[in-house]
Amino acid sequence: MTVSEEPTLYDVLEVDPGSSHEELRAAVERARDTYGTESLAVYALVDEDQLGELRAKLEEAAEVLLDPARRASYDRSIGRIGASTLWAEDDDDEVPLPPVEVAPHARRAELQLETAPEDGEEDALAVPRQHALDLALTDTPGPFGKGPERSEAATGSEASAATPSSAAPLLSGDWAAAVPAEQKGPPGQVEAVPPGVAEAARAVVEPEPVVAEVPVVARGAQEPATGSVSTIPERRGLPPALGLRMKPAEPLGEIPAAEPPPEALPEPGPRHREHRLRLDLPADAEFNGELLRRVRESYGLSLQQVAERTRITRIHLENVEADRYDRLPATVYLRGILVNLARELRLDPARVSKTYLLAAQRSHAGGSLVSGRT
Amino acid sequence: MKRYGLNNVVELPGRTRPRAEDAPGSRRARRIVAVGGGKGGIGKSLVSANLGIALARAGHRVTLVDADLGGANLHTCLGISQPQGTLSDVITHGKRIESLATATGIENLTLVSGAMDALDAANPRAQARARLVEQLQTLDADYLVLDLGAGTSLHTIDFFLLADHGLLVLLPEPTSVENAYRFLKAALFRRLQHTAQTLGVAHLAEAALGSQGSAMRTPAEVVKAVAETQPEAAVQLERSLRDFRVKLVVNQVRSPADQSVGRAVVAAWKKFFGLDMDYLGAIAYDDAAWQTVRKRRPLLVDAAGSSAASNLVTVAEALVALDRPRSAGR
Repeated sequence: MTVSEEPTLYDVLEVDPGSSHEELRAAVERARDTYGTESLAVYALVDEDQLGELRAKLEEAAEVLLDPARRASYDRSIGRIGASTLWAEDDDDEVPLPPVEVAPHARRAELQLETAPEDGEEDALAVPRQHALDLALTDTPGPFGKGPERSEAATGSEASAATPSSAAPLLSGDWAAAVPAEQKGPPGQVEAVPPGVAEAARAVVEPEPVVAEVPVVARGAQEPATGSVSTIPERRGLPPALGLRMKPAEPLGEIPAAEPPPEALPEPGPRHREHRLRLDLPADAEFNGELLRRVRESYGLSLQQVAERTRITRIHLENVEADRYDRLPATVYLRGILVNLARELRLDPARVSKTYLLAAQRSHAGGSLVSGRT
Repeated sequence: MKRYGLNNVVELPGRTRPRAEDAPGSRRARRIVAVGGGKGGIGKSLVSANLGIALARAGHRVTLVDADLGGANLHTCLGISQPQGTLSDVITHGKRIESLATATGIENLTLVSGAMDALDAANPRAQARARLVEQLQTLDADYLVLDLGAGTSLHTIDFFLLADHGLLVLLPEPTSVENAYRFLKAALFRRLQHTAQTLGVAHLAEAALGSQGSAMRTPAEVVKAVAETQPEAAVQLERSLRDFRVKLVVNQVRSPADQSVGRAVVAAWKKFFGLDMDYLGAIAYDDAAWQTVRKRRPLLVDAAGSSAASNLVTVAEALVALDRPRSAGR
């Protein structure tokens, strides 16, 4: 896929993508000096929100690029190293919302195994969770890390959100798009996504039932689950890489002892899973709590799991999903929460925070214009 | 944030005029350098005077113009008495600036004083400003160095904008940085509005500027808004804004942390406004600076060996280097 005008994390740090680890570290330090709270250079230059946004971006860049494994998969995602084309095939150049299903399961699964499920309600998810373990490579080093796909999802959708501003090359970064709209102007401003994009997104996202691959593999990996999973559609033509990815997971086959009884499986699972297949988000989706909840559930993730992954407290997550704006923290912090959450859900962080905050502001203004597109 | 309505915009000498090299016959200063910074007491006059001296010593014909209309004291920095003729003679009596230039005792360096005593002199009317500007642009010199006053008054900003090199002086202190940014933003948006007006897209620019409430929009956002309906105008607008390439000097640097402020400001300006800035260098905090001011002797004359003096020479060299055949044209 063509890498969009969206600035890369390297751009954010203003370094060459070929920089060494040490150079990156120096750049991070420099950036913190330049844009940190102590820095004279940003005093009275822009408002605090803009600065907060930039600082969050810088920290994201630091977090990813200073971790060799995450950096490697990020590099693949932006096409620096031969990224796995298997995934790229699914999303064409202008597909803003590539399939996002697998990795979250993986993460979830990884989590589950660390903290064995105590809870019956989680049981339905046992199979994908168990199996998807190998996919948890997302966050671990390895040649088949799922990073590329994940990041492609991110860059893809960010690209669409950023489309309008690419017409203005004056800005080095996509600052214009990153600037929070909620305090700056009327709602109309946010609706910058060209009309065609949404359709394109829908068209591509819909037909691909990627998720199904999880159960398919699961069958091989874990006996008891086999029968119950049969309701889930099989995905033909698994990417070969997926098979390879299975390998690291095998040792974990021993863990099934920790797995809950299979009979719990069918209950909440199928519904979510079916939903998840059809959860097509237009590029101009406006995210409110309801929509975020549905995306989360489409991954079969519980609030608790998301809370643990993102280190956002469960209370905050609940309030976000319930649109209880008055109980949410100040905008500066809320944005951080939204960005984190969006990343976890493989959504475009900029779009999520922008639209959610806008809705929050509208509600403060008295109107109840909150509209989650479905 | 202060906003500038279009009705405030007077005819501003455009950057559309050809450069001297392009039109060899035209009589105008080869390079106009305007020294500003928003805040008072940050060393604008010191920088102007010594920059002028350094340039003159390097063999350029330099005219210093004290454009701090309400608080002119460049002559004091140079250790000469207040010249008889001042810029007010240009404004009120239609004199040519050349006739007002006074010798400074330094070869190649003359001074035009801006001292004005009339009550309204510090705020000349638009027409008078325009006449002044026109004359400045046709002055025969290699370098014309304008020492601007503090604040963001229109004539100060206009002088800054007409210059080939807008030189921003700031101290590594929050107050100075704050005023410097305010000054820069005011200048940038005045340029934006003026250019937009020239291009006939003022209404679009105004709408874009106005649609964000009190927060400052970035140039890119405005260009983008204009581009939606007037792509060609947007291209020109963008070019004009890119031309707004400020030269930075950090004065009174005391610590290594101070030393890094210049680069950080350049980076931050680029990051948030998308525009390049050239860092000309830092000037060390140096007792010689205030001592020579008290003696009413220029630093470069009286304490040429001081570190501040050598920093100033470096700044002058960096400035001249910018005018050499383009190195990396951006």
